[in-house]
Amino acid sequence: MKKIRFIILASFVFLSACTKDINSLNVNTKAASNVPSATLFTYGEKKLVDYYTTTSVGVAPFRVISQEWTENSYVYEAVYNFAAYQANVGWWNDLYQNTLSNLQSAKNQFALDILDPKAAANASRIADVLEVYAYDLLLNTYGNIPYSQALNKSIPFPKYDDAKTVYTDLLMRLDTCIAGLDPSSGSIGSADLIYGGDPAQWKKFAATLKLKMAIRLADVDASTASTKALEAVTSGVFTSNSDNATLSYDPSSPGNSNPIWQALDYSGRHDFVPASLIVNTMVGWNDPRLPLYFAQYNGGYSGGIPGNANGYGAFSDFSAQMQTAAYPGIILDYAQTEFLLAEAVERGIAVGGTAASHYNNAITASIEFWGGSASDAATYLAQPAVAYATAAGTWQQKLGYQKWIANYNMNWDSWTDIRRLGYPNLDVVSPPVGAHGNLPLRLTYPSNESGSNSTNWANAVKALPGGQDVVTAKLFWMP
Amino acid sequence: MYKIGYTHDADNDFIPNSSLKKSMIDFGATYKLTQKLSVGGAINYSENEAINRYIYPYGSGFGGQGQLGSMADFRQWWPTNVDLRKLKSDFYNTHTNATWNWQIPAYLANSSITQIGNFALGTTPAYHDNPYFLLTKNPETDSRIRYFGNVHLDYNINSWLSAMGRVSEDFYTQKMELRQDLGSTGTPYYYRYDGQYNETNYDLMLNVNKNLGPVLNLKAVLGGNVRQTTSQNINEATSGGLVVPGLFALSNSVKTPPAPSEYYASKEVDGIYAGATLAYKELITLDGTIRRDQSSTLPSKNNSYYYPSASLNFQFSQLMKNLNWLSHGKVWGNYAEVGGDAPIFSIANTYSAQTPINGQTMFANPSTNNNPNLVPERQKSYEVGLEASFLNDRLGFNVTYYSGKQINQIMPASVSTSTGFSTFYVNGGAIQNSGIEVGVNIIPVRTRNFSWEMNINWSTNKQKVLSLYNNQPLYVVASYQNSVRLVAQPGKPYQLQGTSYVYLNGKREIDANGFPMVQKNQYTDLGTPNADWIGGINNNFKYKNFALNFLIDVSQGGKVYSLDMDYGSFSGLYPRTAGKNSSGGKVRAPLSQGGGAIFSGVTANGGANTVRVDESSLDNGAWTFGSLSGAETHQEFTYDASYVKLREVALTYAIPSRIFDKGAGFIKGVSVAITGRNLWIIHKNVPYADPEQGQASGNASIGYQNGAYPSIRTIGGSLKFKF
Repeated sequence: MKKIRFIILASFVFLSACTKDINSLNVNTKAASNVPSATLFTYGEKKLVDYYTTTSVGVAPFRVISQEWTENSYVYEAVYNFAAYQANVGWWNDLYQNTLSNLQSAKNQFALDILDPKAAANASRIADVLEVYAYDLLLNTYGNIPYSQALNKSIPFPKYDDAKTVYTDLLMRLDTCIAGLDPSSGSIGSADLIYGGDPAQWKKFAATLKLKMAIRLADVDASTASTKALEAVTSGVFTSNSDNATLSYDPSSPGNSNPIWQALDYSGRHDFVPASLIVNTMVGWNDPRLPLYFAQYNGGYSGGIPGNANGYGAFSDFSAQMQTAAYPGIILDYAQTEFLLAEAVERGIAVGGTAASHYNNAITASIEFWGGSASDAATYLAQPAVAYATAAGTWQQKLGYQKWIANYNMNWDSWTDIRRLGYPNLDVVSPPVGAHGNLPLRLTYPSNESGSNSTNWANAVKALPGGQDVVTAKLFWMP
Repeated sequence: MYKIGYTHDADNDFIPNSSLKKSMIDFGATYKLTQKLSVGGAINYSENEAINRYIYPYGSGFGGQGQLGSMADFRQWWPTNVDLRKLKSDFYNTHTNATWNWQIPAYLANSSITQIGNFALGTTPAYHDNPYFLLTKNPETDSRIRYFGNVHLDYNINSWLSAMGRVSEDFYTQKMELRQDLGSTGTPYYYRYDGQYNETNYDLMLNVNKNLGPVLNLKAVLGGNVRQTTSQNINEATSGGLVVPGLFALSNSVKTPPAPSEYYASKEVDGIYAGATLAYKELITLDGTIRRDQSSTLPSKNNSYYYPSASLNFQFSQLMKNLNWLSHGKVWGNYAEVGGDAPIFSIANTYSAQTPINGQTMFANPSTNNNPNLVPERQKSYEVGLEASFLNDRLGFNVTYYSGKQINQIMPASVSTSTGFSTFYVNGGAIQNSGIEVGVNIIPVRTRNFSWEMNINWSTNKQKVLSLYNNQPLYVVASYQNSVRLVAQPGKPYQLQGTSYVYLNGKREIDANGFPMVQKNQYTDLGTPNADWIGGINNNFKYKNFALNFLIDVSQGGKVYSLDMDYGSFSGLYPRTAGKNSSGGKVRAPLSQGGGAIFSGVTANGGANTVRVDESSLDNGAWTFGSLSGAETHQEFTYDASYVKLREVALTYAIPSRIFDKGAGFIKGVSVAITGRNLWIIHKNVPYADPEQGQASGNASIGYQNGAYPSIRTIGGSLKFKF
């Protein structure tokens, strides 16, 4: 009997130990399987502004290569050496994985979450405008990129699409958004950190982005550039600093604070100094933005030489206002708009006004936005070296230099405008000491693509002018 | 019947303020309820407490926390003219982060900026912390409290059949704390991790042990096992700095900390198994087993897998008893398959919560796309061996050949990040490991008073990646600091990859400015970290009551990349970055004073390079040392990891037993021994470091040195009593 009792007892303990449906254990009870779409949108939008703003040379070396800032001790990007911190990897991965992926997920879900179909449609168009913005950054950094097959869970290895074809499609998406954004309805409200979900503002943003993308085509396709620029102006671009696309950072948490503050103040590191070219140029022209951009050092302003080891504590610091945790990030502004309009006039596109009036508006907007006054701007513009009529050089040089100064905190655009307009002509006036060649025209494809998407990557490299994945290969809009 | 024990160990490491303490209590008992039925149980309790055990270089600690760590600092960035003894006395005199590299007060005084972030003027170093401050004021601590035990019932049903039922429990809690006090170079913080782990096993087993006739014996087992594990933790860090110095509490945070991160994972594997062993005399043994497991981490449609195995053992010397010179001989072979389940939560995607911004909640897509179609992974292996000894065991050897293949490996395969993910969980990849192990025992001398025994071991393993997911050419196994990585490529063993030079007809090519040309934007194979072979020779000499033992270990081949040498060359720490050049000038002097260095190699036309490069300052844009300079490559700092070491020497003296016999006391023997370990690295090719050291503790990594600690030579004495 004991034998039977023991076996029954033991079997009973054993069988009762087994969980009925063991697969139910494999559900993560501490992470969400479904989330409101707006929370994904907020994250995608915030990350886009983060990457555009960041000083991290592993993501965005643009402050350094456009010589608005330069490096201390760890001198790589300043001499166009991207091998050490691989910005080409960071920029690509972050924009695709954190920005585009979350915007796309939000877009796919808005119709399920937002009850009012008009508001859902607006939300989806806002996300689309930001996607176009992000793709524009990628396309004009690398050339051909994965697009039609990107952001798809069932395609682990997407092909690369022709840059010009994608560009045309992006412009079309903007057209659809401009036409479809309905100011009479709402969208996602405060989950949109830039415009509080205001469709009218997003319509203006989309038109301004369209103007920027249109003008970029001017050297290779003047007629499309003209048509699209005029369409953009007709639908309504930015008209004042209050239109600027800014995102207020949140000082209550370090990770949600301005990336500049994180890098310069929070980290305790000393990796950057202002670059000599911009400091000296602004000093030469008595620029009222000097104390707004930089801090004085020994009673004056000075910057480091790109390529030198420079050194902490030997040059001007960055201004106190840029180094606050709450300092806003900005991705598109009125000053850029007026510079684009000035350029349009110079290129014979009938956008109205004169190049000089748009130039003056742009500089005044920039000075006012940074905290200067209208009279500061007037005094500045009255100087022969600054006044449009008397400033040195071609219109490309006049616009190039002033836009570069105004773009001081919008550095991918600084680099892109230098690539487009040729000014400041860094290769001539300020080649970095020990530079690895000239200012890069693009970044090379990220090294992880060669391993994890090898066939498509190899085809993309073949399609580059010269068939080599190098920074000197021209993008399609470069003449 | 019972046993009871208590042990306590306390180790102070050679790093100041680092220690490991262990205490353990165990108790076990069995009790016979009846002739056939017995009940038993055991319980163990242990406590571990450690300070500064792990120093994670470059924030590689839990939650991305961790400071540079002094060892990485010493090997990579430390100015060699700084006197550590001075830093030590300054720290103990002032209890501050006393340094030579303060944030520059003069700079602040000259600037319209009055403060740099959180860092007060003149109280924090700009770059290097005082190592004594780091270890004393910013200690990393961890502790573990563990209970494990079991209860079991054993029942001898009859002479050949018995049953056993057992429940065993293993439970521990773990706490880890990282600290950075005010006055450190980085933003001060306190981080704590509280974890709890629990494993319960239920076993039921039926055992057969029966002689089937005079020459045949059967042993068989039929059983079931249920294994339930639960792992959970919660971890949290302060945000934005600490308010009160030296107070390491979450509430001492400058900003409101975000919600802590929580983890809870429960898993169950249900298994049933059966096995039988048939033995014919002592000549042939045949063994077969089968097991089926069902795991909760796999999709329900594919959640079970089998483990069959078979082995055969043939003692051929039983048939050759007439051969006097053959003491013993056998051959064996076996085949086994093993199944494996998936890591938990790898079949469905979840979002990751982010710290809200301006009151707005944020969630983000995961970086890995999980897979609801995973199937179990499998490993198939076989082994054959021969063992024999001769001449009264004076000479013996054994040889084993094995080969194992893993297929359908479950792994996060890298995909294009333009998918929105960096990895997809897949069944992909197959890898094969095969090798030979040889052992030889020789006793060259054996007399009454003197003997010499020698054991030689040698083994080699060949690793080969057979295929990768979707025929990808490459899978990144690990990414190291400074863009060096470990990869799997079909047809090869694991490879280190990094930058390399451009070669022209086998010679390094130098550009017109005198700089070596580097393969741009391209990873090159730098060799496998796996050794070609390893071996050891152990000699044991005995003379009367003295015994001398020494062990020499050899490892041949394999590569290791040294981040220490690479960064340290860039920062100019190592002699290779200074000294005299070929014409007798100082390398670090300007070209105008005969300084600079010539890189050996050939120019584009094949002639020897003669251009001397200026090394006098970072400001001339020409500093060429270290891969960060862009002139040297990771290849330059990848070394052959071979070594020959005198691993251990031991001298023992056993006090003759007759001394104790007389007293007839309870002491039956006493021996005295001196043992030395890691006494001498006889040969190596890695400069300034032991090739066996990896990353400064914590995250182990293959083929990679980062903040390598010096290996410790230990010499110990012992006195043993036998009762």
